[in-house]
Amino acid sequence: MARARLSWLRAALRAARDALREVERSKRADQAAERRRIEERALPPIGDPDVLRIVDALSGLSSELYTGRLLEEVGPVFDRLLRETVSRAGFMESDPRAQAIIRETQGYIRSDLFKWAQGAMLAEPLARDLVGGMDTGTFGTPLYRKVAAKYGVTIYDAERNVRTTYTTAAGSTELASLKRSGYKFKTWVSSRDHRVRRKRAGRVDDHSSTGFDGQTVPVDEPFVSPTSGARMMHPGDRSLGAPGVEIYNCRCTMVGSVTADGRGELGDSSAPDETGHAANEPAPPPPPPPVVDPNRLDGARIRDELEKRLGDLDRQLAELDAESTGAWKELTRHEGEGYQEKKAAWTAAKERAADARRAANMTRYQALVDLRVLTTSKAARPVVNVRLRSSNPALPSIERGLALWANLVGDSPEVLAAIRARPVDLVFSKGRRAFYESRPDATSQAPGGYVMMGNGSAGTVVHELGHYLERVYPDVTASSIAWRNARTAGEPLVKLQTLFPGAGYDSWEVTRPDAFVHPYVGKDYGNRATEVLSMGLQRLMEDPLKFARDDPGHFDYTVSVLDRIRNGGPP
Amino acid sequence: MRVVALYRGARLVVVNGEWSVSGSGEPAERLRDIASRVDEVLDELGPSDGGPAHVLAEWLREQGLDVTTVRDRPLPRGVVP
Repeated sequence: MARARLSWLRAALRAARDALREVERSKRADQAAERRRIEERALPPIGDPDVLRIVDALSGLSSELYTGRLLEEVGPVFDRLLRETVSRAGFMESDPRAQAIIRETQGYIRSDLFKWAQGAMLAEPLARDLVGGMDTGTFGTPLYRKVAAKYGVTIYDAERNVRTTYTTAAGSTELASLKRSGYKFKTWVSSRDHRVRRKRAGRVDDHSSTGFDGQTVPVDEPFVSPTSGARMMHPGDRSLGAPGVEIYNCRCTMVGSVTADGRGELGDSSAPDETGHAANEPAPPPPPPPVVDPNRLDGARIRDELEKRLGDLDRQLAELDAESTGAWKELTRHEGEGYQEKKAAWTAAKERAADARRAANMTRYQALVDLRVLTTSKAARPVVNVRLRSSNPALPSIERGLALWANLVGDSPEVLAAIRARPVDLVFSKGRRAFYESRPDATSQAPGGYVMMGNGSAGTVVHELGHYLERVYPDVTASSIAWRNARTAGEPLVKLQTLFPGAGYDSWEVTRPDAFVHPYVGKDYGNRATEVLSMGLQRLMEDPLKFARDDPGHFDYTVSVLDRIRNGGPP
Repeated sequence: MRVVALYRGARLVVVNGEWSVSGSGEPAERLRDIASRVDEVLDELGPSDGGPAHVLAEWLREQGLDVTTVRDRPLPRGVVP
């Protein structure tokens, strides 16, 4: 009976194709306007700030139909088909048995269609709901509840759909990043644990090493499942018709490579280029040696350039922030009369400041790329494990921080070797103070360990992974200690609790405050760590111009460490 | 983390970054407006700023609230914040 119903449904859907296309056509004009609105309100981008926005990934799913309108539009088509079929089977239209057959079959089809429509939830309407959720600050369980109520599904289904949609978006954005970074090939990487879907009886979805995992294809071509034949441009991609079974609950990602065997990284001098020559082989005729290596970083030059590029921007931001702060103070000072008007004024001022800050982040990022403080490499990114669900609202900022950190590190062979030897886990616990804990053991010299993400801001990710860098480069730790000691010579140690009573520092946290951008920079951990590099990298990413103005010495030292990490030599 | 703050009979509770307000009328509305900025405050915190609950409590006091509970999870031994 179930098979007959399925055949019925397929035949009916084939017959109703024209009606479905009409529904799609009628929606197309609305979609363009909706798409513009979504783009305006797009989720924070993952990876480079200017790579594809999440909504681009979501729009790849727009061929699905709206759940609610489906039955309304195609219902009459099914009714006609049913009557014709019953008539062909020899029943008179007036025969009560014919009516019973029509009624019952209608019920089956509507039920099947409803289930099909539920499966079609991963679509543009859902994208709009998610963007709307971001718009109103609705995340996590409240968002799942909202989606569940709207689509008439359980909260578990809603949660799964939301999570899967974010995975799709992340995959698409990662693909765009790989293309922009110049990768020629991409390699599918599963989570490589016991939960990865494997080939088994009755199922063809296989993301393990016998399926998608480890597959390397040209970056513009799809991965093809050897078991199901599904074609996907990236994990979570349905644009080429991959079935939901390959998409839902997927935790896979992908990495870029410059060779077809999936081994090379950008900047890997042993990797052959398109002509088959290794990148470090001189091309005829040999180029003249550069007088100044453009890859070397010079702190003073970078500070001058930042001043020229970002000076006006910082002034404008400061004005907007002052306006927003003033509106808030006005609101909280004079409660009661005119409260709603003051609230509206504050909301508008806050949004103006937030918009300007987002634009400023993009400009800062571009300036840092232009000045080569940031590379466009993502080499280190895919080998750091982010231990949180793809629906976690902190994921975009964590991904952004991770991409920034990977861009700072560039193609540093020491970092890549250390992370590959022992991965670093990023774990998230909202409301908790962030920290890094290395986990050395007898099997490897690599520090490994994990980063507790705290609030999950991009700056925090960069800060904590700065501590990781100190563990990878003991000479950097030694030079940071020497630099800090030289700056703070003769100063007494002070408890941070004394400097900031009520800020929740532990009693063992001591510092020599000097005139650092924050007294925390002078913190003393003995010989095991410093805050010099972590605070420097964090400030460099958050507001490079302010950092350069407030403490040029610390700025220059941070840049010199980056130079050492990327290009070798003493920091 | 856990922070509890009071304002004219209304109560704001923030646990691990999630907030809820109990009470009614204008005090509760005002608390909700203040609570709507809790994420903003927490998002701006870095590891160098101390305990999130303590910093948030300071900010809530600046907004004129009576903070009654402040609790941060202690750092594990040997970690680098």
